[in-house]
Amino acid sequence: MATAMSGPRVLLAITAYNGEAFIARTLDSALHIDQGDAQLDVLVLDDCSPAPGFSHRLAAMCEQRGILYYRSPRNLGIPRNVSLGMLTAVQQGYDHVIISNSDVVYPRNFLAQLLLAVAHEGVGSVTAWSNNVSMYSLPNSDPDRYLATQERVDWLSDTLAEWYVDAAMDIPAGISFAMIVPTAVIEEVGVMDPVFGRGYCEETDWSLRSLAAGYRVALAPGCFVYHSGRGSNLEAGLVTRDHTSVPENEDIIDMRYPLFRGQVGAFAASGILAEARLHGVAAFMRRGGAEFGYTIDAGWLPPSENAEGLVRCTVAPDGLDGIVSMDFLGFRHVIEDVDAFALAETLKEFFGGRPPVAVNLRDRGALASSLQSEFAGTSRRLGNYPSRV
Amino acid sequence: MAERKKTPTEPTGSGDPVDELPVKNTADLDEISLAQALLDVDVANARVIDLTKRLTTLTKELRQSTSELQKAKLRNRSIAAELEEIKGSRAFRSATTAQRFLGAARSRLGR
Repeated sequence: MATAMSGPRVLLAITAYNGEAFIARTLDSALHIDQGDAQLDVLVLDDCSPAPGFSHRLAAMCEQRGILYYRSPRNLGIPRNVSLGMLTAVQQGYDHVIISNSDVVYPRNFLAQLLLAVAHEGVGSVTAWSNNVSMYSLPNSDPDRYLATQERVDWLSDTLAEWYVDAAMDIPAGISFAMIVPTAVIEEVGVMDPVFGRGYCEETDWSLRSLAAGYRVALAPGCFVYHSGRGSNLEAGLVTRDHTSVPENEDIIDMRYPLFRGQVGAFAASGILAEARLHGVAAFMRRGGAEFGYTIDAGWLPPSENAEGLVRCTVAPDGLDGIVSMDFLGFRHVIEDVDAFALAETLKEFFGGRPPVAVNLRDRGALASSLQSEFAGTSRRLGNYPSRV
Repeated sequence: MAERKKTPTEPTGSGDPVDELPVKNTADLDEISLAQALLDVDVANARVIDLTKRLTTLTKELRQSTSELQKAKLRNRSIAAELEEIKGSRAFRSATTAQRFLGAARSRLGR
């Protein structure tokens, strides 16, 4: 299609295999991506889904939304289906291809953030950050409950983008649940190896080949994609709920790259990822508390009820341990060495000058008494016992 | 934008009458997919040939090693039998007894 746009042409290739429960949400989310001056085309690669009538419905969904659709006449398996997306992008003159699973929610800033990260010197692929992206995941207590809406994903990704801007964090291997690759890199590194059969570990192999070719493998901490995870692979019976990988494919990786596990261990031990998570979650807390408000809960046990939408700051009622635990949207952030008797001031400063919405005193102690007198109007004493003992 | 396609693909073949109708693709990737499938077949064939070569080489090595192991076991067995024969001989038993007496005498004489 002729276009007057000057930005890069990007193909978003969504690989699908069944998944009626989540595919419509993914497609709507893809249309919601802000294109900026880039040109984004969305292509669904249906890997010959066997669920009765599913392919017809998926084709219709794509047609309604103006999304390109292709159903392979035979099942290819994930690696070859991903390769088809990569080759399509190369042969049809796109600048980048984004390989994506079909059980995700993209943020509005998805394309802009990935393009910023992939523009760094020597970067050959960039994986988005997520609640479910292998070892790089941002831990969340209940992602399906807290994160699986478009509005929430936009908010989280905007918050991370504000903090991390265009950062590209080097990682041992990319994850193709939402990964951008310049087509020039594909021309040099090649496509996924079909030796991985129905899938798993193929992107690790690809990433390590790209590293060997001199490219960096990066993660964009300024871009958050919700990922339900293993949706299609559970459907295909490729993995079970108890097994998250395919051992035979891991054996191939171990044989080809004997140093890889050590490199992953070294990366985990480096503390880079832990630091990134810490700052990312702190950014959620800071913005959440400033925008929606926060509560202070003084009690020995976690509060039994949950004020969803507010950041909940829990402290010990005697204030001796100097620890504040913050909970928000299933994320947890812990601040240590807080002067308990300057707690209110510390939190006010952390949340951009905003006072707490409520102060809940659940157990007695020096700090609880101090908070009661400081917030005489907003504090309330509550029992914190379970309803059944 | 990826090239749009008017021709439908094969039916899904699940037995449901709806599934017997062809699915309408809006992107034509048959050519790309076919070309890659042919390359994949080439690569797979090359890998099979390579693996067969390695398999035959390793099988030869395995046979040779097994044969050497059997020979070593036979030799070991004959040496063990020889040792038993020596240990059972009158000369060996006399020497052992003499050595025992000599040891006892030395300890009595304090040397």
